[in-house]
Amino acid sequence: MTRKKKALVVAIVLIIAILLISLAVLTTQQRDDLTFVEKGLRIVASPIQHAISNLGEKIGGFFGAFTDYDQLQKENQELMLQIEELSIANNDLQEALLENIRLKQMLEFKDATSNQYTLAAAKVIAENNNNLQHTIVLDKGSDDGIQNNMVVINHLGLIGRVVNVLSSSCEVVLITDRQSAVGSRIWETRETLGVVEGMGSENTYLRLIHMPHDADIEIGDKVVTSGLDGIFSEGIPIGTVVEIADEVGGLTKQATIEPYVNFYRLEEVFIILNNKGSGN
Amino acid sequence: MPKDKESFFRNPLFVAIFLLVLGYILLILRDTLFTKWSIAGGKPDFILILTVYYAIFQGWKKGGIMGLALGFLEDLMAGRFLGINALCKGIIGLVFGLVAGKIYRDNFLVPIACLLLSSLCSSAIYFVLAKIIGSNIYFSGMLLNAVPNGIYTACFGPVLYVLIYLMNKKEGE
Repeated sequence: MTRKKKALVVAIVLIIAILLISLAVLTTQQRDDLTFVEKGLRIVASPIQHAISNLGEKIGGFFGAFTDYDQLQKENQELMLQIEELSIANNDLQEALLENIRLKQMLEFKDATSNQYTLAAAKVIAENNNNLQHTIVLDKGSDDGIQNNMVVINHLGLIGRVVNVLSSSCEVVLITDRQSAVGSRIWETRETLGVVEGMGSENTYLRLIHMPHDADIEIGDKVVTSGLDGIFSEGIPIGTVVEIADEVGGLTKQATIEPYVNFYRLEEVFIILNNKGSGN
Repeated sequence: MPKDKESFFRNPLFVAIFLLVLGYILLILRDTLFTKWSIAGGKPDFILILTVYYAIFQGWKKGGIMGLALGFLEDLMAGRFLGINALCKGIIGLVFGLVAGKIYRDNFLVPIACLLLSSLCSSAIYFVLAKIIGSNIYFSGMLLNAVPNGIYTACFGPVLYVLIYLMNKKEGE
């Protein structure tokens, strides 16, 4: 290759790099409207994700043994006890039993909150968790009345908000995502206001920032949504304070929050269709 | 549309379309099945495998372009930070295409070792690019992901290596 040709190649590579970096900077935030190519790719992927999700559940148990040995061992001990007590020597039945417990908890939660919210149950069919973003895909879409910015919860607490809606699926940004920001307060004092944001990087802990320096906050305090951000309605549990520190400069405080929801084990969730409490 | 398999793999456009469709299916699998089957938080990077193998057989020019296209497909599926994977995989395709001449390709262990190396390089490039676009990504988080991702990716190497090797043979005949 001649020197001139080499210089041309380097120039082309640099131009492409600059264009792509610019594009990445422009698209750091979740967009309300995807391009038709992105929508097309997701529409085609949606039924495949549904099918694979169902298939994965059937054969997931085998691989689960490798991924979560401790948990499996604990569950196995519990199962052994139950096998002795109830003579249920069947893994499928145990799986159904666990699912039943989970769904029962969700149903109790739905009943308990029926005065406050209208909820739609949804199943997680895909996940996209990496260093830059934490999102999940649910099996409910615009056909089921799902819209952008609807809040996603389960019986334990806040999960995230809907960002992209297709006809039969939707994408949810988890509160552990770095771009996520939730107006929140300390449940005990009700006066301390701050913003809960994700820490990213496979980290499921959250950070409560922008609290006043003299904020009345202690380790073990419960954190709930404040409702002031206009998206997340008031009073949804987020997590517990596990660490408190001064922010750089010392003018404000920040705290590390351990969320109530286990983001590694999301299977069934609720989408808040209607907040009867505030009339949203 | 070509009538038989051999003429299909001789046409670079059909090969590119085939790899993009394959990449799309593998991305869906990664976000569904392999999310459930992740080991120590790691998932196989199928796009990286296709890029590295294609670059090894086709050289830096085609490898770079294919990396760019496959990476952009990954970006479109993610919906945010469009271009970051395209650039990352483009660079990997370019670099591994350049060193391809020095690799003994017929021994399948060598390209698998390349995969492990490329996976670590890819994580490092991704980290640098994320920093450039202003993301407060943590080095420790990147490192924790990079190793299991690399090992998981390398484990899938032989399967896709056979496919690309055979495709290249057909194309070269």
